Amino acid sequence: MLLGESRILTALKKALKTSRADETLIAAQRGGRTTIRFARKQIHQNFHEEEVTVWVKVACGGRTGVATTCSLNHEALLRAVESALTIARLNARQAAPAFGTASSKLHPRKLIAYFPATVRRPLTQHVRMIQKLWNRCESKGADLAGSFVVGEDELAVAGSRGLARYQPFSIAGIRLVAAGDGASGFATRVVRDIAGLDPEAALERAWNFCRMNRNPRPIPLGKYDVLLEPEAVAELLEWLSTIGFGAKQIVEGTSFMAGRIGEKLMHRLITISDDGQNPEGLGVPFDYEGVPKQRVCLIERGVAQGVVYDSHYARLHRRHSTGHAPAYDESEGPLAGNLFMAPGETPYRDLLKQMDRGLWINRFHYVNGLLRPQEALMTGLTRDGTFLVKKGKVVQAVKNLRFTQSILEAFSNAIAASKERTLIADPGQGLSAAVVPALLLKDFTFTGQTR
Amino acid sequence: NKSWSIDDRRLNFQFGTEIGWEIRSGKIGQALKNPVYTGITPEFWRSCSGVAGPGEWQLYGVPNCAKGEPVQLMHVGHGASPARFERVQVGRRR
Repeated sequence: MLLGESRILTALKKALKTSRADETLIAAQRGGRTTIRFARKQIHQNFHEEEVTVWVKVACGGRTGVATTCSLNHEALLRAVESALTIARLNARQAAPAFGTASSKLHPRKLIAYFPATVRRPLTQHVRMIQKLWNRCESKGADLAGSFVVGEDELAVAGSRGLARYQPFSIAGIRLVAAGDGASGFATRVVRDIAGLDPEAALERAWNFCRMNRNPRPIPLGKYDVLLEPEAVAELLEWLSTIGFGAKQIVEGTSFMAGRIGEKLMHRLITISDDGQNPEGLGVPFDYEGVPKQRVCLIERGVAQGVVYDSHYARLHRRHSTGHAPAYDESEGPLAGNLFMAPGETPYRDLLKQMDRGLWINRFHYVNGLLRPQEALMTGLTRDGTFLVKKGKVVQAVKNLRFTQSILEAFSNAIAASKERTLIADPGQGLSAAVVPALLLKDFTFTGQTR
Repeated sequence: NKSWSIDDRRLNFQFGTEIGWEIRSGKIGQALKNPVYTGITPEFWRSCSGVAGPGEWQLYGVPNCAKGEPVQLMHVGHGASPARFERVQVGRRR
C-alpha cells in the first residue's frame, strides 16, 4: 500500500527545516515487491520485500556532504541531515559544487504510472496464473521455470528552496524459461498496468524458442549476419548507455562519444534517445534532484548528438541539466535509463526472410561492455535460443556462442530494423527500461563457444 | 581484471585485464595493454602448472558480487597466490 504523497513529503519537509546548510536536498524512494519464483511445477520461493532509501545532500560554503538512511522516521532523517553536514564540513571546497536543485517553478508532465489494480490483485490469483502457465507448458512437453514480480515504488524529492516532487509507480513482470530435452527458450514481459501483461503470449514465445532449440550443434567461429531479438538489442543499448551516454564519461574521456559529437558513429538506421516522460516506456517524470526529465537525442541517424547531464556536469559544461541526476551516493554520474531506439520500416516477420546466411539470437547472457569503452568493445554469450539461418529459414539450433564485438562497428553494419518495438525492463527495479526493435546486423564477430 | 563474463553453466569465460607483461625464456618482457584471456573452465584449471607458495598468498576483496532474480549483492573476497596456466588463449580470434 502506498505511503502517499502527503506522508512522504511531510516527513522530508520536516527534516529540511532542521538543516543548517546553505541548501539541502532530500530524495526518498520507497518500494514494495512481491516475488514468486517457480520451477518443476513448484513455487520454491515466495516473498514480499519493503525497502525505503533516503538520500540527503547538503551544501555549506562550497562544500557538499551526502548521507543516507533507510527510514522516514524523523529521528533517522535528523541523523542523516547531521551526518551530511558533518561530512560537508570535512570535505574540500569544490570549484563546481556537485549540487543542483530544480526550480520549483518547472513542473514535469503529469504521468499516469500507477495502476492500483496491479498491486491489489490477490496473491492467490497470481499463483493460479503461474500454475496455469506451467500446466500448459507441461502439456507441450517442457518444464517451466521463472519468476513473477509485482509491486510499487514511490519517488519523492524535496528541497530547501520549496521544491516538492512526488510520483508513484506500479510494476508487474514475468520472466519464463521453457526447458526440455536439453533445450531452453526464454521470454519476458514487463508492464505498469497488469491488465496488459499477457503471460500466455510470453509462454508461447518461450516455448517456441525451446521447441526450435533442440539438438544444438557447434558451428565454426567467425563473422555472421545476426538477427537480434529486442531482448538482445536492449542489453547492448543499456551497456552503451553505461559506458558512453553520460556527461561524466565524456569528461573522463572514456566514452565512445568523447570528442565525437556531430560525428557519424553508426548506420543512419540507428536513432537513440532517452525520454523519461514518454509513456511508451516506464516513464519517470523527474530525477533525484527534482529536475523534470528532458528528451535527449543521443544518436540521430547514426550521428552522435549529445549526452545526458545532471546539475553538476551541466555546470561544468555550461549547459542545463537534462534531468538525469542519479541518487546522491552513485559514482557513475548521470545515466540515460529510459532508452528508445527508433523503429525501422521492415515488418518483423520479414527480417528472417532477408537473411541469406546468419544467426538468429533470442538474448544475450553476461554481456560486459568494459573491454574498451572508447570503441564500445563488448563481450557476452548467446542464450536460450540461437539458430543458424540459411536462405531465410532456420536450419539448425546452435550451441551458445561468445561474441567479442565493437557495438559501434555492429551498429554501423545495420541492415534493417523492425517496425515493431518491445519494452524490455527488469521488474525488480522498475524505473528504467529500453524500448527497441529487432535488428538485423552484418558481420557480428563470434570468438568462442560453450560446451 | 577490469571486465568479466562467463556463461550460465560457468564453462566459457572471458576476462579482460588492465595490463599484462610478456614472459619470454623466464624473463619479463613487453607490457601489454588491456590483454584479454578466455577459456573453458575445467580445461583452464587442468592447465595449471604451478602455484606460488604461502608467502605470496594475498586476500583480495571485491566490492560486491551479484546473483539471482531479484538481484542480491554481497561483499566477497578470495585469497590466492600467483599461479601459472599453460596454453591459455590470450586475445580474441579475428
